Amino acid sequence: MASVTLSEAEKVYIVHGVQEDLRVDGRGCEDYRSVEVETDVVSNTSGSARVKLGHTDILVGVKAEMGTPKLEKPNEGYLEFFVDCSANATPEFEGRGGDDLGTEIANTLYRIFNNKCSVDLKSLCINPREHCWVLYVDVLLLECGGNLFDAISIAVKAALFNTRIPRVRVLEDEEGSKDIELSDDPYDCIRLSVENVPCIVTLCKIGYRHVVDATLQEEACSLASLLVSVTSKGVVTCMRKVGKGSLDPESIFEMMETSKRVGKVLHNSLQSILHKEESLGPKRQKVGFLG
Amino acid sequence: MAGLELLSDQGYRVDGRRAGELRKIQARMGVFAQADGSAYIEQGNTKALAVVYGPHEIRGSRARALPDRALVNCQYSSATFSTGERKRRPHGDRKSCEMGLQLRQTFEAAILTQLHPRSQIDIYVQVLQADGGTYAACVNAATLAVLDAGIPMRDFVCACSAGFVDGTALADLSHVEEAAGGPQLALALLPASGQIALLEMDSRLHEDHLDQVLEAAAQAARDVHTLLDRVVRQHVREATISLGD
Amino acid sequence: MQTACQAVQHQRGRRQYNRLRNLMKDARHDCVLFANEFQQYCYLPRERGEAMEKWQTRSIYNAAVWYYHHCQDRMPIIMVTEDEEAIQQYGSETEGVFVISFKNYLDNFWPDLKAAHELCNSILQSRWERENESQESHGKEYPEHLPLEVLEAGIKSGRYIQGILNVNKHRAQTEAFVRLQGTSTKDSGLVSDILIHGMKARNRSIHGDVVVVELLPENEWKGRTVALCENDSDDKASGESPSEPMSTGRVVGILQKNWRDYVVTFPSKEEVQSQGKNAQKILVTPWDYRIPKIRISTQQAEALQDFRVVVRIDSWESTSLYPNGHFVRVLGRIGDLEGEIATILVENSISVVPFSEAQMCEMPVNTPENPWKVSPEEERERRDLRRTHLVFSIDPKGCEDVDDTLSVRSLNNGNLELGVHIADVTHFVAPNSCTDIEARTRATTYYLADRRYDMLPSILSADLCSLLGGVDRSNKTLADSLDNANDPSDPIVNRLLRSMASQAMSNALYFSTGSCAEEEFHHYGLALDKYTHFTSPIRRYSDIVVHRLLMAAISKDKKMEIKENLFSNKDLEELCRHINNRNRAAQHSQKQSTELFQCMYFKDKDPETEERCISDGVIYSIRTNGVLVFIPRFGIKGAAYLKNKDGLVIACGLDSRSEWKPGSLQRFQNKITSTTAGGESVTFHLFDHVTVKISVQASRCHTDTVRLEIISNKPYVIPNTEIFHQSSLLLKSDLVKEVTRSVEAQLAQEVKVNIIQEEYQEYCQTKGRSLYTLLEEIRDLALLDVSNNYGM
Repeated sequence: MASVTLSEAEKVYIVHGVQEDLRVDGRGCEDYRSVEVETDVVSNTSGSARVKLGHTDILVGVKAEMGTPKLEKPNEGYLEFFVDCSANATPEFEGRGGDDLGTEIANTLYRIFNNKCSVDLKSLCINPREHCWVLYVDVLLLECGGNLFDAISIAVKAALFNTRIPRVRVLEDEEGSKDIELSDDPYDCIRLSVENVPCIVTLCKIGYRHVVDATLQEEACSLASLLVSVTSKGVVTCMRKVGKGSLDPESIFEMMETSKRVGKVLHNSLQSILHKEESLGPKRQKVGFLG
Repeated sequence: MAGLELLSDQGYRVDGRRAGELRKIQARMGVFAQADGSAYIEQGNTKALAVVYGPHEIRGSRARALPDRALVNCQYSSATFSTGERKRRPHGDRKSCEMGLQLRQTFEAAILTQLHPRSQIDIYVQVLQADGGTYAACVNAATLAVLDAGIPMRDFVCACSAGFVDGTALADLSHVEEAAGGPQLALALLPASGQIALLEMDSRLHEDHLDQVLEAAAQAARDVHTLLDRVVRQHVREATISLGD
Repeated sequence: MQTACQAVQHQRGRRQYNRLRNLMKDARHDCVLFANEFQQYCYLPRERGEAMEKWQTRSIYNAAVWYYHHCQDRMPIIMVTEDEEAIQQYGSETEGVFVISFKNYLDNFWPDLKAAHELCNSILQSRWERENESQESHGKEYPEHLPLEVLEAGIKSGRYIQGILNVNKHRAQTEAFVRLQGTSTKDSGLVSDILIHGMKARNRSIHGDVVVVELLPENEWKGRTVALCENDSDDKASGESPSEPMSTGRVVGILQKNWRDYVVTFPSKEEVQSQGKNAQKILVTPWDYRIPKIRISTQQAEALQDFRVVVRIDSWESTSLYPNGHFVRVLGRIGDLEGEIATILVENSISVVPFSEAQMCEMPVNTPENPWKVSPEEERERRDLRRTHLVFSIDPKGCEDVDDTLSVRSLNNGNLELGVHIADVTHFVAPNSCTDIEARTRATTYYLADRRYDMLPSILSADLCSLLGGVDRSNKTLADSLDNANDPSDPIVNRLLRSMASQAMSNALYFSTGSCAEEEFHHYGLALDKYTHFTSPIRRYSDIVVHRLLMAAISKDKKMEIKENLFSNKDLEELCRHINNRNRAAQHSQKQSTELFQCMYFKDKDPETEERCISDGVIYSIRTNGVLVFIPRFGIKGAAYLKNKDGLVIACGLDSRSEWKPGSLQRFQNKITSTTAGGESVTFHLFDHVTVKISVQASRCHTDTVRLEIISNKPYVIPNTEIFHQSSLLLKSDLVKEVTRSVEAQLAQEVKVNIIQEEYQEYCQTKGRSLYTLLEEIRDLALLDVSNNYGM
C-alpha cells in the first residue's frame, strides 16, 4: 500500500484528534470525504465509471465478451476482476511494483462477489453450456489518497450500473447449428441490476476508536483495519481484517454496526447520483478528466 | 472491415475529415494533486494521461546516476479496456517497453537534463482509450505534464501520425486507418527549431512520397503545438488568478 | 445522399453499391454525391428504439430540407422513395420539398419519356408479381444455394471449385462446362474443365456466371458428346455413344451473376395457348441458345407477336423452373434488317448512341468557311514533311478513316528509308474529356458487314485525323530502313492451311506490362518477343493509350513536364480487360452480321433452280458423322452431314449425284467412308473438292443458319475459271451490296459511294497479285468462320 512517512508528533496529533471525534480535515469519525462519481467515461467499453474520493482516483472499465460458461455452473455467466496499480499513483508502482497490491484488491473483489445475490449471473447466460457473457471488470488505480477499497467498490458498482450488454438472438438452423446475431440498434441492450451489489466500508482502528474513510496519513497511524462489505439493505456479505495489529472482539461488533449504518447511507447517495445521471440521458455533458 | 474506403472520391475520410485535418484536441494540466506534474489529453477518441515525478533522487541502484545530467525514466502503460479487444497485460509486453524507450529518447532530447545532475525524472503515461495515434497523444500529454511539473525544456515536443492512401497524405490517423495496413509515420517535432526528435515509419512507402507524408506530419505537429500552447497559457492564467486572490 | 448509398450497400451488397458509385462517377450523368452524414446541420443521431431504415429515411429527409433552405427556397427539392410510410409522413411537411414515389415522379415531371414509363411499369409489375408469388409456395424445383461463408470456406479447403459457367451452344439443355479459375487447378489435380450435366445440376446459373461447383462421386461422372448436331431441345442423346467420362459436378452456389440485356422473341400464337391460362405471364425465348427461357409478364404479348424485344432477368427462385424478368424495349420486327442488326449489337453489349452535345462541343471546327489549320506552335514543334517526302496511303479505295500512311525515300547509302506515319489523334482528344471517355467505353470501331460504328466522331475519324491526300494533317512518324522484299504466290489450299494455322492459336490479348513477367510478353502468332501496335488510333483505343505513353516517354527524355494523365497499373489492367472484351464483341458482331447477310442473300433463292446456290467446296475437317467444307467462292465454312437424322447415309451413284440410303459410316484419320447396306461405298478424303448445295435454315426465335449439302463427290467446275480468283473478293462485297440493295429497295432509300481517282493515276498502284492482296484475302478468311454453328 502506498504510504507516507509521518513523524511521531504528527501521529500523536492525529490519534488524539480521533479520540475526540475530530479529524485533521474537520470530519467526524463516520463521515466520508466528498465523492465525485461519473459514468460512461471511456466509450469503447460496455460500461465505465470514474470515482474521485479526495485524492483517490479510480477508473473502472467493464468489457462484456462472449465465452463458455464454467463447467460447474453451466447456466450462468461470470465476472473476472483485474486491478492495475498504475505508476501514476506513485513511482513505487512502476514495473511490477504494483502487482502485489493489485492482486490483493482483486482477490477481495472476487470474494465479495462470490455469492448468489450480488449480481444476477443467470441473466448473463445465452445458451446453457455453450455461450454466456463474461464481464471483465478492470480497475485502474490512478491516484492513491487512502481508502482504496471503498473507492474501488463504489466505482465497480457504478460501472456495473452503467454496463450495457448488447441483446443477442440465437438462431437455430435446420441442421441444429446455432448462430448468434447481434442486434444492430445501439440502444437495444440488457442492463444489470445492481441493487444487491455490495460496497466495502473500511474501518481503521486508531487508538480506541475507528474511523471511516481514512486518508493516507490516518492509515499510517492505524495498526489494524476491518473491511466489511455491505449491501444496500444492510446485509453483510464479507468481512476481513487487515493490518499488523490486532483487534479485540467487542470492537469488531461495534465496527460492524457502524459499517452497516454508514453503508446504507453510502448506498443511498450513490443510487441517487446514478439515477440522476441516467435521467439526464444522452444530452449529459461528459466531463471526465477535463473538468 | 474489408473494402472500407479510407479516402472517398470527394476527399472525405471514414470519419468525415479531410486529408490534412486533425481530430478535436482537448487537454488539461494539473489533473492530479499528488504528482509533481500531470496532464490529460483527448485527441478524438484517444485519451491519454501523463504524470511526472521528479526531479528526485535516483531510486534503486545509485550506480545508475549520471554525473552531469538527469536520468529520464519513462513507462508506457495502456489500460486493459483501452482497445477494442481486451488486452491481457497493461504493461510489460514488448510493445509497451518499446514505446517507453521511444518516449525516453524523445524527452531526453527535449528536457534540459544538464540542470539536474545525478537525479531522476519519471514520466508515466497511461492510455485510457486507444483509437489510433496513441504514441502522438502520449508525447503531447507528457509534454504538458513536464511543463506542469516545472521542469525546464528546450521546446515543446509535439507529435502527430501520418499515413498515405491513394496518393494523398493523411494526418492524424484513427484506429481504422491504422488497421488498414498502409504506411504509417509517427513524428515528434520541436516546433520552434523544426528539429525532429523522433521519426518512425511502418510498412512500405515509395521514396517519392516520403516528402509529402513528412510534410503533412510536420504541419500537423505544428498545429498541435498551437493548441498545446493555448492550453498552457490558459492553465497558467488560471493558476495565477487563483494564487493572486 | 451518402446515407442512401450506404443503405444500398447494407441491403444489396458490395456489387450493387459499386455499380451505383460507378454510375454516379460517370460525368455524363450529372450526379453528385452529398456526404450528408458529415455535414453538421444534416446529421441526425439515431433515436432509441428506431429501426435502421426509419433512421435513414429520416436523415435523408432532413438533409433534403436543409438543402432546400440552403438554396434559399428557390428550387423545389424532390425526394424519391418507395417507402409508403415515409411518403405519408413527410410528404406535406415542408413546402417545396416533395416526397413521392418514382412512378409519381415520372408521371409528373417527365410525362413525355415513353420508354422510361414503359420500363418503370414493367419493373413495377414484375416486383408486384414476385411479392404475390412468394405467397403461393410450390415445391422446390432446385436445391437452395449455400450461404456465402460456406462457399468461401469450401473453396479455401478445396472441397468446392470456383469457375465461370460456359454453356454448350449446341446442347444448351444438357451440357455446360465450368472452366477453372485461379490456383484451384493445381490443388484439385483437375486437368480439364468440369462437366455440368442437365439443368438440375446447373441450379439456376446462367452462361457467364461465376459459380461454385462440387464434384460428384466418380460413379456418376458422364462424358461429353462429340458428334455434330443441330440445336436440339431434347435431352436425350441422338443415339451416339458419348466419349469417356470426365469430371462431372453440380453447382452449389453463384458468386457473381453476370446478367446482361437479352434479345428475346415472343412465342407464336399457338405456343401461347399451350402455355396455360395465365396469359399475362409469357415464356419468351432468348436469341442466344445458351440462355434459358425467361418468364415475363406483359399485356402486349399479342401486339408483339412478330417482334424482337429486349428483356432483363430479375431473379430465379428455387421454386421456379424459369427465371423471372421484365420487358425493357422493342427492337424491331423479326427478319427486318435494322432489327436484326440491333439484335446483334444488343447481344454483344455494343452501345452506339449518337455522340452527345458535350462531345461535339469539344470537337475542333473544320468547315469551308473556317477551315482547320495547323497552329504556329505546333508547326514549330513538329517536323514538316510536306515538301521533303513522298507520302501515300495503302488503305483500300473509298476508305474514309485513313489512319496510316507510308513514305519512301532513297538514302545516300543505297538503303531505302521507310517512314510510317500515324494520325495524331491524341492531339485532338484530351485525356478524360467526354470524347475520350466515350471512346474508351467503345474501345474500338465496330465494322459490320454493311456499316461501321466509329469510335470517334466523324469530324475526327473521317476528316481531321484521317490522313487524306491533298490536305495538311498532323501525325506521328516512325522511320525505318528497309531492303527490297519479294512476294510469294499460293493456291487455295495454301491459303486454307495458313488460315487454319492461325485459327489454331489462341487469340492475342491486350495486357498491362506492369502485371506480367517479361518472359510472357511474346506474341505467338507473329513469333515476336515483344509486340505492340499503335498504327490505328482512329479505330482502336489501345493505340491512343500507346500514343500517350509514347508522348510521356518522349517528354521524359526531353525533360519536359509530364502531364499527369497516365493510367496506374491497376487501371490499365482493368482497361485491358475491357478492351479485350470489346474486341471479342466486335469480332463476334462482325461475324454474326456477315452470317446475317449470307442468310438473307440465300434465303429467297430456290436451291434447285438458282445457279448461285451450287458451288465447289473443299473438305477441311473430318468428323464422326460428317465433314466440314470450305466454299472459296463465298468464303463460307460449314458442316455437311454424311448421316442424316433418320440414320441414312450418303451414297454417290454412277452419275456422282448423292442419295440417302441405309448404311453406316466409318471414320479414319484423313478420310471417311460411307458404306450402304447394298455394298456401295464412297470415300471422302481431307482436301477433296466436292459439289455443295447451299440453303438457309430459317428460325423464328434464333438466327437463320446456312446449310450445306454434298450433292456430288466431284468438284464443281464453272465454265469461266478466270473470274474465280478475283471474283472471290468482289463477290463477297457484292453479296452485301445485293442484300442491302434489296432491303433498300423495300425501304426506298439511296446509298452514296465516294471514290478517290486522281491519286490512283499519280502513284501507279500495282495491279494483279501482290503481298497486299494476299493479306487482304487472309483477312477475309478470318472474318467468315461459320463452323462454330455446328457443334464442332
